[in-house]
Amino acid sequence: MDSSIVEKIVKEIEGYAPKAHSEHVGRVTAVGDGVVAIDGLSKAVMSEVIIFEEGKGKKLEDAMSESTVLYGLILNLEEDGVRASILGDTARVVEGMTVKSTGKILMVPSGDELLGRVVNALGEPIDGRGPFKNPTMMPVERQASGVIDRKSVSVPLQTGIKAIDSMIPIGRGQRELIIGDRSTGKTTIAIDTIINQKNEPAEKRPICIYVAIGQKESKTARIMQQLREQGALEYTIIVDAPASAPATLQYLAPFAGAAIGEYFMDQGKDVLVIYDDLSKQAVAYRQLSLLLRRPPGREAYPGDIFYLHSRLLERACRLSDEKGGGSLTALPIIETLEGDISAYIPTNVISITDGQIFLMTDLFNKGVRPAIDVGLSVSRVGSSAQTKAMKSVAGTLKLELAQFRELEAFMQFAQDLDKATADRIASGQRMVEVLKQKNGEPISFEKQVAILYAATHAFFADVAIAKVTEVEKQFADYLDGQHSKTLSEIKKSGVVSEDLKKELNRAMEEFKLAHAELFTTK
Amino acid sequence: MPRIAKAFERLAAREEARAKITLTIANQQDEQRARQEASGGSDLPKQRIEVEVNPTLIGGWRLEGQESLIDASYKKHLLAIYTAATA
Repeated sequence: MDSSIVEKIVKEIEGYAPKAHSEHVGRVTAVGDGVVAIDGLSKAVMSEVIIFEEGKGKKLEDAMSESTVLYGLILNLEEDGVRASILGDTARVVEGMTVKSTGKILMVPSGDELLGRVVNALGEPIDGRGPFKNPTMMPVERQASGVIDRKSVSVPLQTGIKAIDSMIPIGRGQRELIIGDRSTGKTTIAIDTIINQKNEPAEKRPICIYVAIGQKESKTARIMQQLREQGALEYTIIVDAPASAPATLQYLAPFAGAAIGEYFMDQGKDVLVIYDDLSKQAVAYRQLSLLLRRPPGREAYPGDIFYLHSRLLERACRLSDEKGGGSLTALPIIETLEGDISAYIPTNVISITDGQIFLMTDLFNKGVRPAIDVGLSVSRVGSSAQTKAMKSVAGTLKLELAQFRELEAFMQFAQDLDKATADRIASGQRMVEVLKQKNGEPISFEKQVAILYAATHAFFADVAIAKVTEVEKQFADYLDGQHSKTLSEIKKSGVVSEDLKKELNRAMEEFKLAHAELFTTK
Repeated sequence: MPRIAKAFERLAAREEARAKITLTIANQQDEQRARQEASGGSDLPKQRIEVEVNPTLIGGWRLEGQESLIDASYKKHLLAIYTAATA
């Protein structure tokens, strides 16, 4: 043994005053599938953390070699005992084992030292970079802020995605659902939003928390790598409850993410939390509830499945100035089956959130990415947070696109259409092209405004549809190089003044003259 | 009827287990001292307490029953010291 450890032990022994106090205990009567039935613990409270006493009957050296303490979480209080879930390896629990009450509810660590780190649903670091030195413990379950403590959403949260920032704007403190079938780009939108926050000044940049629930470890590793490469990991915390984790940890992970975020919100900072995804959390909770023998309801989900999501998402808010003015924005993700948004869990979460971004497989397969269905997507509070500049250029965009989608059905009879309808369809097609965006390439707010200004002023009318994306990119680069002052002015003022309009018109003219070959519909 | 009888048997067994108080000591010679320490000076009533000998405690005693546990074993203290020293 290391001599320093021996010295430490000698010191500890010399100063040790043995204390024997009474502890409240119970005994495991049944164990299986991550859930234990415990006889006793009559004074225990809901969501209390318990400790399984593994050392009993073991020799000192064996007890010392136990790597970690095994915790449990009380989830059912019954007439003659309690039921709890095991927050770790079920195989370590045996019948007859003594269980100690801690008198504490579940807490997770939070603080600046968590930034750039990956933790599990209990807040324990799992990235191999060592333990946290001085974290602040936050309760996993906390009552959401009340009416008096809140204020309206008024500051935009820029996602860097043109289609969202222009038509479905999100405000800081809002809850915006991202919903769609598998492989339609839900996670991509969330990750692009995190990446885009690097365009924000450091003092206004939201702390980002990505909660992976029931995801493949390879996917989470890829996301971490992407965030690191883009320089976004330094302001991001990843809470990982993979598919291999026990159902309890998958159920707890979003609450842990919210608790970590609340620490920063209480400090007056803005926080963005992504729950990827709540469908898997609902499935984990259903599994846990059935094992706890709670009565099953619709689709075998327990009766409190709505409350599970509402109490989580209610924690997203914008605090009043008296409370520091911090905010917690929630972007929950829900996976649908065959585009069925009227299923049980999707309708629940749609009704809880302040809007939804609906992604369609058909659009995705047509190459429209992000595959946002403008008709079904809505942001209920975000428009009040949208900047005047964006409002002025994108005010009618949603309506125009919705009309285009209706007219799209007639496109096969193009020769029979009157000129006005044909022009509207052509304009809609070009607008769809303008709104297309590659993943991992969020665009700054001011550049979005400039591009949309150009698009709504028939800048792309003479460009072949297949070339719109290319021309748009070149125009954006041109603005960056030749009109950076105009862009920074839009960013600074948040409005498109008459002078700025003239500047943008001039830029469009200059670009057209310099690249005349691009402006031919052939 | 047999099921009801079984259920009563189970209830009785559970109540008995709950009422049981176990004093665990590391070796037989420590019983008297452990009883005195556990009762805070006065002797614990012999008939209600089951005494177990478990050498893994190393020394001291452990009193468990009726949803309470008092662990005054040397093992527990040594583990606490080890945890404090290696944390």
